[in-house]
Amino acid sequence: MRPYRDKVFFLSMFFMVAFIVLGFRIYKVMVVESPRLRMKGFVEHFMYLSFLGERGYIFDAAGRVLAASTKVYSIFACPPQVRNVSNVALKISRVLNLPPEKIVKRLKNRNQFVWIKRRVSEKTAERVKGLKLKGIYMVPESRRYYPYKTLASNVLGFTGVDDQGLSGLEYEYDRVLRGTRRDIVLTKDASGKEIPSDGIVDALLHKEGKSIKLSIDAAMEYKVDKILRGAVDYHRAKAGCIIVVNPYTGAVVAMSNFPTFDPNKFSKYPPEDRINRCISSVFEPGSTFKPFVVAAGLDSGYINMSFGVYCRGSVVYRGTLIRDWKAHGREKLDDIIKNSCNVGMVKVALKIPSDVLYNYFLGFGFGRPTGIDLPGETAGILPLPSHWYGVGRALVGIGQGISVSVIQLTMAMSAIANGGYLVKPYVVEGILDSDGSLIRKRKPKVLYRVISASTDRLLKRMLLDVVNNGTGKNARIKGYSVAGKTGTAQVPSKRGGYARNRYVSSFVGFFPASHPKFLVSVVIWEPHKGGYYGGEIAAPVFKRVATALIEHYKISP
Amino acid sequence: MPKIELKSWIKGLDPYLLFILFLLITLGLTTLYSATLYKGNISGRHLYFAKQVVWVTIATVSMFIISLVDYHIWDKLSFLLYITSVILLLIVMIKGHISLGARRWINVGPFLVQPSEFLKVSMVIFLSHFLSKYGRKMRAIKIVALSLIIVGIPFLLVVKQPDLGTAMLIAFISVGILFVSGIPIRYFIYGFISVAILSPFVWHKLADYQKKRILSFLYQSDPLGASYNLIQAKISVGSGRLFGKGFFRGTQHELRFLPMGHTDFIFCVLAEELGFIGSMILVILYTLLFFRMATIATYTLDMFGKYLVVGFMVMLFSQVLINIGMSIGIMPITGVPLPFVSYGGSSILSNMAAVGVILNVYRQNKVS
Repeated sequence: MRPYRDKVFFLSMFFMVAFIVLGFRIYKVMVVESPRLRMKGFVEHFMYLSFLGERGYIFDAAGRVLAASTKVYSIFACPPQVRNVSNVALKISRVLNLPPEKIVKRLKNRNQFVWIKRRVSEKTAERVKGLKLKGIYMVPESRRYYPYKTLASNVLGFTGVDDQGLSGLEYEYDRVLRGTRRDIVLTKDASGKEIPSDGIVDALLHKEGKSIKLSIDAAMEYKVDKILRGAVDYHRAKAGCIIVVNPYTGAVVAMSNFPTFDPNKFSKYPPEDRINRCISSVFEPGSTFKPFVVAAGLDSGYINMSFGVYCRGSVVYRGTLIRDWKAHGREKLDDIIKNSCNVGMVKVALKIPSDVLYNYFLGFGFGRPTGIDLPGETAGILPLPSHWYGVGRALVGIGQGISVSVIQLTMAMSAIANGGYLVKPYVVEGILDSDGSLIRKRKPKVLYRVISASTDRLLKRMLLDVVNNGTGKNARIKGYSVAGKTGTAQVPSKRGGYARNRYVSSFVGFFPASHPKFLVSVVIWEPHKGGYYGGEIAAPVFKRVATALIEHYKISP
Repeated sequence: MPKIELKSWIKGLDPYLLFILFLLITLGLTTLYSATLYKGNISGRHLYFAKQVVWVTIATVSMFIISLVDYHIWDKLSFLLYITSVILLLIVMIKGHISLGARRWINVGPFLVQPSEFLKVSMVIFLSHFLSKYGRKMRAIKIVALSLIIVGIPFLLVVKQPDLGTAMLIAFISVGILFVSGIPIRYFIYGFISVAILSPFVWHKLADYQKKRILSFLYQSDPLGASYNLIQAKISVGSGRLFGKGFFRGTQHELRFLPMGHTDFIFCVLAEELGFIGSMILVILYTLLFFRMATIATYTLDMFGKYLVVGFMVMLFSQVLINIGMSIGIMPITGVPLPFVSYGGSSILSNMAAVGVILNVYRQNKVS
């Protein structure tokens, strides 16, 4: 018997060849094509949903809740699982107050996932759950709520529909506040089933965001807001800003804007109501800028207290007439500040070399952001000395030709108030963990010394004199030593030069003068009634704020 | 039936064949357990497995009983078996159980029985009978013509069901036995040419789903349509890589992406979980099984016995080739189960019965 002659032998050879081919083919699919096929399988098996944990709260200095997160539910559908689309749509539409056609359209989507309605109340969600509809699910989400509505709203900012911070602190501290994004992987099968439990993808809110605690005191902020609103309304002004800081630490106690908005329904307000003017808007400071020019002169030694001028009510520099509001006659340096004399200030400015002046301005923090922990801060406009053309060289002495923000002015004046140091302002004092424990505390940051202690003492004396005997009389508070400076600046016109009847009235002051507890900046944009001088408009507002502060913090004289 | 002594009974069994078979069934049951672990609710999870264990037991007992029955009895019963299977096919046509768009099953007690399975076995027996009896007495052309009629009738009935897989199987079996019986090669070439010419006409006769399957096999497009099965099968197999995901770790069938993971596509489950190595072990086991069968066939001098072994061998081989082939996309998708591995009573019963017959052929023809 010779097996190879047998046809069975050939048949088995054929089998052998067939199986070898099969083996190679299996190898190709399992090893060579494997990565591609695995990926394909992976994509099919899982459904990704991305959710945010609850957003952290914003507390004021006393622990009051300024921004809270409430639990809401978002309803979604997994269309392939929904049977009897029209019936389901009808049932849901009744509970959610949506047109049934709209729901039908969504349910006919071929995706695995489609939103039905975002952010409904827990009550509504319970009702939807009660319908026990197949393929309809809900997830808890957090929704921002601002209990004090407009209070400090321009500082707080607001959040968008996906709980993301869009402006203000909500934007600046978004990464802190935001709950951790969690990707939920739902294993699904071919028919799209297998979504966890009874439809609510739970345990989502465990990874909450951290909370922040502000240096702002809501009680004080409320009072300041009210005072500002009253002043802006009374003077029919375009806008107003008040900042209250601790000049030693830079902690912002109140930052008030008017007009303002309610962040709970931010979309109903025009964008200009939502900006934080205190840090984003610039204005020509005018007379409130004069102390810094004098400080530069005294500190650099180009002038001293015996510097004197004779004011005839106007001065001509390089062919341009610079007017004063009054002929002040013979004046010493302290009289120039007290009277806010333009002629005197021009002469002071011309005594100091441009680059020295410029460096002091920079030193006081002008021309660059203060670094406050808020978004959208402006750097202001501080042109280089080489750009102080013609009369510009003289005009910087009276605060013209440069633009500052309220916060810059506040911090520059704080340097005079605190003995000569520039400090960095801040709004957020600490970061709290989701269980409420303080995990990070702000350390106030003193940047550097701007002027010497002796210069500072001289300036404080002059500023005290402004309130006691000069243009800032309206800021005087009985029994308290108040120092400050008024300012009335014209608004530059779009056509060049200055607009008529458009002024920015300001007052920046601090008290008690020897060791100030608070520094208050008041800026009123374009008042139309009751005058326009800073001494007339801003100084009384300062007085009201300062009085409120004294009452609130029980400051003894 | 003569009185059997245990000692001689054991001596008469083929240890190699039985050992390989035992390994295959074990591998099959384990894979099936994994494949059906996530099917149905918790109480029903092991139902498939339990049912299959029952079937394997019944089939094993049947195999041993059949191995004791002198295979020549099948020679005598061959025509009866053939006629019976044709009649069963006719019954299916008239009042069969429809599943997945085709009439293939009839109810026998609690089980659904597929006459196609019975047909395969009886086809082998009747063809072996015919060729061993007349193979050397008639002219080749006459043999071919008569074989065509014998095969043609059930073939057409099966196509009508429609059951493309079984039709392919019957064709393979016939070609295999005819080849071994010594029909000149040129007849096979003629046959191949005529199939090539006739296939466009046959195409029109196919059911829509069959056309779709063949098209999707050829083009592999339309992921949620006709080639969905194929693509899912390939994803499963491709997910296995070299060593697989491990037993009970496959995701394709767990999540019911893979259709019929416990029956037709059980190879995919095995491949996904045991990887290329595991798949090769399976293929090697089959190869060893067929080599053992081929050896038995070679040493069997009795023509009927030889044709029986060859026929069953081809039957099993074709099933393996078609089943694994469709799992990896080189064969069109048909409902052919993987022998000894796939879930299904009819399949395991008929395949084990076939092994039983081979065992008897071995017992009577073994060379000491």
